[in-house]
Amino acid sequence: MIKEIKQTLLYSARFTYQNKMLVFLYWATNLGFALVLTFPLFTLLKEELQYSAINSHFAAEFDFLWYIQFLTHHDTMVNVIPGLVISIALLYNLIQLFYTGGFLAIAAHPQKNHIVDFFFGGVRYFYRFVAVYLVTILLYFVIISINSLLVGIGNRLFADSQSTLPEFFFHFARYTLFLFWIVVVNVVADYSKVAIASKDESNLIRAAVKAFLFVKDNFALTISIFLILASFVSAAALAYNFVDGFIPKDSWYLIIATFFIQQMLIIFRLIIRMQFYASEYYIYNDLTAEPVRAYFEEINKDV
Amino acid sequence: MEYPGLATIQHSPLILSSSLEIEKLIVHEFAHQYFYGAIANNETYEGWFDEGMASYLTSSMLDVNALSDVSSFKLFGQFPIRGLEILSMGEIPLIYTLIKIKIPNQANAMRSYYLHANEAALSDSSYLLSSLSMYNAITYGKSELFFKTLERITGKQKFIKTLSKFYNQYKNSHVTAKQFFTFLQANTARNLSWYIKNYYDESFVCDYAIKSIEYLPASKECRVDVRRNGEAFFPCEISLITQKDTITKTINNDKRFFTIYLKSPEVPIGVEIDLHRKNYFDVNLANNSKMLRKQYAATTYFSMRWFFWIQNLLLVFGSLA
Repeated sequence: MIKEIKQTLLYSARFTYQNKMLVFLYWATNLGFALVLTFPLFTLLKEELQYSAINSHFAAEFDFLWYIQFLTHHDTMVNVIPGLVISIALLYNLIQLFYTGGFLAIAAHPQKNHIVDFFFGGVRYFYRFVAVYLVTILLYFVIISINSLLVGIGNRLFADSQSTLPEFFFHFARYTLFLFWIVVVNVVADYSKVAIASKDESNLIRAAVKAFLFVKDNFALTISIFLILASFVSAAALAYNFVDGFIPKDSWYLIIATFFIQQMLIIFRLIIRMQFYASEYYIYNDLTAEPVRAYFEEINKDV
Repeated sequence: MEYPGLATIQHSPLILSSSLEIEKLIVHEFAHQYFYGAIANNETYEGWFDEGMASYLTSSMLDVNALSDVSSFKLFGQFPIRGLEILSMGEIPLIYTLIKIKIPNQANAMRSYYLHANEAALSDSSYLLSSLSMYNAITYGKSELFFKTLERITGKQKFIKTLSKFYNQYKNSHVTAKQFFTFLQANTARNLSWYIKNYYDESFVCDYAIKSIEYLPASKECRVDVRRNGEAFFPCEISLITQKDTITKTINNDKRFFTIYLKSPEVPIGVEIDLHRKNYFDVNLANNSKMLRKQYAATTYFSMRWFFWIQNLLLVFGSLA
């Protein structure tokens, strides 16, 4: 399995590198959406702070008292933010689905590797990917609901407990299970898309069943690849936080330097996201390939 | 929870080493042995008195020892992580930052108070407060700020000394808030009736703002327009900040809007009310100051952080697609 993991990571890294221009497309989309969601806050902060001494305090230290006052004064906006972010994220996800279709279309025809294939694939698989996405959302909703139900059960069970440890272990088991199912649904949804793109599967249920069975049969490999790539992201995030902690924020140059480091992390995450799909496509195609049968024909030497 | 000669505390099994959660609980419950235990008050009507005093003594003890908590949040409701959580979905933090942020010792009281700032007064009977959130806001939040601001008005040493005298005089007996105020006034040179009226009797909100400043080079003066947005009055310490110096003037004016002129030998940087943050009741610190020039450092810094958090959040949502 180690050899397979190595090969998969190598292939996916190579494939991502060959399609590096796509990273800019992903990045530009991400930047655009983030700008839309940042602009209202920027305007609000500008109005509130442009003449305030809080600005100079901020350079020295995060003003926590101002922060809680800001949240209180703008609680209407603060309460709207999660809904706004989720609505925009849904739109963002639809564009991501389009990109994923394009990316997998390129993966299906690496010899062509044409920008037209990318957009053609995006359109071609879009409807099917959206259907998979909706089912995935539904499954997430079911997992979250079961988790909430377990929270309530746990709280009732341990309401009169004299020790906090049993409650701790109960909740620990609960969210381990919660995370496990989130990862499983995520991986199966990814492989469903790969199955659709790889074999041009038009029957969504068949694609989902195939993906599920594939993940089940190759559970260790698929989850290992998932976790390895996810750990790259975690390592990069930790490295960013470590570096960020050492950068003072009291000069414009250093604020800009921080921005560059942040964008490097975002680009790295986007590369890893591409690598996710590339690795999944590689594993799926490799392990579901039809064996080529050797064909023997007896030759009558006497003739 | 406090009992005579006994206190019980509860905390989660996982706790950050830098957290002062347990220490604060212990000091709070220990303080109750003095205020609730030795000096009792009727908690049905004046629950704010012993709770406020215990909370005030706790934060004062932390202040004296230069200790303050560091912000943290809990992953999945249980794993403490140092940083600041901005947005979460259930138990999952969606937007957060891992930077080390010191939490001023009165921050929790302020946060709790802001939720019901103009809804109830300290003089309202505790049992009539309509919700647990309001009970906490008044009994723990506003009361702590009341004592802390009182300390800043009278002077720390003086206030602690007066408290000590009050304890010695009334230990092993029941007291009322009125008795405390009478004792306090008798032992303080400053007239405190305005403070008790605005911040104990009423649920007034305090918010002073600098509306505008203008430097008049001919007379080397700075014209400052001040507005009292809230109903509560508080003597204003207005500081004119220049490159070399800070000139402070105290204004005992309870008008809703007034203008003052401050002598300034050079062009000032700006003006700030309550520079040293004596008044813990001011609900808006951002409008306490006005700079002559526009500044964007905090706006840019915070917006950039937010921008980055949103980028990450979109990637998280995108990975679910």
